[in-house]
Amino acid sequence: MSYLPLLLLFIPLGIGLLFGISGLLAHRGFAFWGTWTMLTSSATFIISAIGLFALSAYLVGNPGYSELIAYITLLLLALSTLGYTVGLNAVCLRSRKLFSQATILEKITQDLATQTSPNQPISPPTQR
Amino acid sequence: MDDHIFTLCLLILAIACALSTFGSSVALHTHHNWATICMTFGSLMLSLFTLIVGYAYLSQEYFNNYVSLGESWGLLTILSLGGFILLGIGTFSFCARFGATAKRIQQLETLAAALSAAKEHQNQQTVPSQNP
Repeated sequence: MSYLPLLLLFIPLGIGLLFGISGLLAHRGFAFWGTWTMLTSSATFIISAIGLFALSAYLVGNPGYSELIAYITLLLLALSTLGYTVGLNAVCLRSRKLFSQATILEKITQDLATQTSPNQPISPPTQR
Repeated sequence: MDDHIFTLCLLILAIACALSTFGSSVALHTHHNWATICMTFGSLMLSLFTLIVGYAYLSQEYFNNYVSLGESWGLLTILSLGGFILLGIGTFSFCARFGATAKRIQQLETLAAALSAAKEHQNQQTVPSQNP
């Protein structure tokens, strides 16, 4: 029994699922076109991996398979990888702004919380 | 036709690797932690894999003369699988942190608005006591 079809299924499927869950985690926090690209590309990657598995299983049984479908599947895998990296690149570029914004907001909130606490009034003391 | 499609796949993969390396280096510059290091190493391994496959494809004698077939396939498997796994793990952690930070920003914005309102209220209560 050849394990090649199973390897061809589980390795790209696992990688596609990992990529898909990553895109979903980013999309839940902040949804923009980059996360949408990541999600659609990982879905295409998973579908292409299943197609590749079906083709390889067909290849074991029948040597005279259609080469064109195999090449289209490979092309889809490559295109989905490209789409995923484009989305990941957008997320990485957006993360710079997001992380700095979080740091600034934390400092502002901390300052506001200190100023509004009853122990330290913000108004000057009353003159008697 | 298969040569053209294989060349196209290699070209697309090379562009994807370049984009991934750029994005992960930007992420590494922003946040230097194990996730971004994993992403960068994975991207570099995939770029090396693409370079080796492209070179082997351009010069067909590479596999026959210089490197034995078993060693080449072993190296290529390690590079591609290791690169994808490292990139996947790093991306998973980075995207989880990205999503958590985005949610925290929303919470902090709400908290800052509430604190600003409380500060305004405190100011309004303090000003009449200064000028009775």
